[in-house]
Amino acid sequence: MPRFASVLFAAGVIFLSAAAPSFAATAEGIESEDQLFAEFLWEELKELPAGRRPEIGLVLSGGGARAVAHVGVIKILEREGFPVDLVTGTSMGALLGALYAAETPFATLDAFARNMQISSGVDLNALSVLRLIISDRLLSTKKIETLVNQYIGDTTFDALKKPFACVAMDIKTGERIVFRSGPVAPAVRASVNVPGLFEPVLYRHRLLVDGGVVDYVPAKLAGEMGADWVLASVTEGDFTRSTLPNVLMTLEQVIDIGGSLLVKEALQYANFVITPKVGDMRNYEFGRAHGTVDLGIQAANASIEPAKRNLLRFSMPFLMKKWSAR
Amino acid sequence: MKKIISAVLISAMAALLPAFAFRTDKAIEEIERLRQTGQYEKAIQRLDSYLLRRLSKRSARAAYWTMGDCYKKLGRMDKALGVYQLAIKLHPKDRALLLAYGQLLVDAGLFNRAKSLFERVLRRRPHDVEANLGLGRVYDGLGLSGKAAGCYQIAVSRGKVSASVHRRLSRALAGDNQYAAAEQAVLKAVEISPEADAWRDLAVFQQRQGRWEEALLSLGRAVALEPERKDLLLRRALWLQKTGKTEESAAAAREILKNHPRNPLASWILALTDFKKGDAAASLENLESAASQKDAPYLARYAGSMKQWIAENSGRLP
Repeated sequence: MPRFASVLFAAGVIFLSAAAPSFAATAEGIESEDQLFAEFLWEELKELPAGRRPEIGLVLSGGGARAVAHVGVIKILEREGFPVDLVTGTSMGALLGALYAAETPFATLDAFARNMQISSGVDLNALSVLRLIISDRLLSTKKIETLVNQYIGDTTFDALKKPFACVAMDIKTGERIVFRSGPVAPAVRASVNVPGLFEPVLYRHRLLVDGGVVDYVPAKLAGEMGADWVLASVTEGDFTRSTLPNVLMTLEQVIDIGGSLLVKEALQYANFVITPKVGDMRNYEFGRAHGTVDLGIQAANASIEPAKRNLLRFSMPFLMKKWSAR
Repeated sequence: MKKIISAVLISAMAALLPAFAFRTDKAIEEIERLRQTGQYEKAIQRLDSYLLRRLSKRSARAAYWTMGDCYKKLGRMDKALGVYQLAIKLHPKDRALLLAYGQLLVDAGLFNRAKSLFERVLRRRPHDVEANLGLGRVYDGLGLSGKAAGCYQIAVSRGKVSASVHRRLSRALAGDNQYAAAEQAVLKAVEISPEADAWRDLAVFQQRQGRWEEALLSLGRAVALEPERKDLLLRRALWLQKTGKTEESAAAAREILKNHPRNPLASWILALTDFKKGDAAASLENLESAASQKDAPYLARYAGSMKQWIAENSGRLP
């Protein structure tokens, strides 16, 4: 089915099943035929091995501190046994996506996300900030490589448990640079590198910065990697409510506006989108990280039944082949 | 000396006077009797004038609580919310008012607003059963099953709670993927009150752990308690299908159709059984029946798509 039609159908499914809770959430009393039917189909789908069902891609957008909500989304996907075959990510989505693709235990991922601070990846101290102000010397994100290696080891893309790709931008040419091979840590670092604040990463003669500038939601990339069905978790900022009292916030506004324009274009490549309510957060508000994971859980919980039904609808031919083989 | 004692006694009586003035305790007791006998409108009328008097803090709090509850019982939630909102402003630390207001907000789906009210009670009384139950419902409403389970566990650990609380705990644990713990919790509910829903929940938790045979037995217990319940019978038919007992599943579906002709899910189960046997024509007929029912829209559309798939692929089917 053409992807556009899939998206239209998804809208219909969401409308029809918006009130449909998962069993675990509410099935107080009588369960409806639709609930029982979807539950049965889901069990059938989960049994299908990779290759006998649609290839499913999980896309994690950028968003800085807002993107910590992706961990909440992942929690619900894992709870439901949602099969994920490949992962793409930009910026913070790349960092979390790499850990997820390495099958980092959820408890570790959750603790990492909830305790995240800006200094986790950046040498943010009085001296470095003073240097930034006086001499325009940008902050280094070398710590991010150390952080990634700490969690998943000094590993390469091939060695990850799930196929993974992340996006950066060459600041000299404006090209989207996709990392799908080689060492993971420098690729993630490049993807997270906010231009104007962090020094570009020199990698194979390219000067690389945050991929969110060119590909905030790498949904098209997931399709290019072979995903038949794409679920995107998108943590957009609501830039219309921003006040701009300083240079940092003005820069952030520019990034958020750019991101928002890219999101609209990218969503045509996603079959389903989960949007945690994090629009009021700033990119760097890591002090709110703990609660942000919960916002991801809430958004995913509210969306998971429509997402499952969308995937089930998409998977119908695969299920028919399964049943006809008996 | 006598003069001093008299002066002290008179001062003490003057300080205590507001608490005993205007017969507030008797008046509120009478109003409470009206409330308990279901005379809510009358109680509210009396409270309107009662609250105009000078009251002790205790009487005032009781009055507001009673008024809010009467409005709630009359189904006038907006009025009840208004009363509690005012009462909390005047008595911000009163436990009964905080809990009542919180419960009302939860019933109205205003979980984020309710959260802070229960948290206020818990700051002073961390093991308060009602506050933990209320906060648990908030977290349930927000989809934070792990946190909900934590609150219910505190409530359960503090003493005797009803079967429904054990069930809430079990569902929160299930929502947090802790099916073994959920099973233990719902077993307590079944012990206290063996209802069909509790047995059904137990069955599902067993099934999620891959214990299909036990799950079918537990589901059988649920069906035995409510043999006319269509959803339990349908679940049983689906599970028989799932465990390879397709003929039993089809028989169960036909049985359902006797009492609920054209039930879309029962029709679909028959369609699936026919399809697996290679009988495309019979399958199409049952899919047509399933697709034509409006009360299960997702199933109807799915059945329609399956029909189309069979029509397009009939030449390639084994």
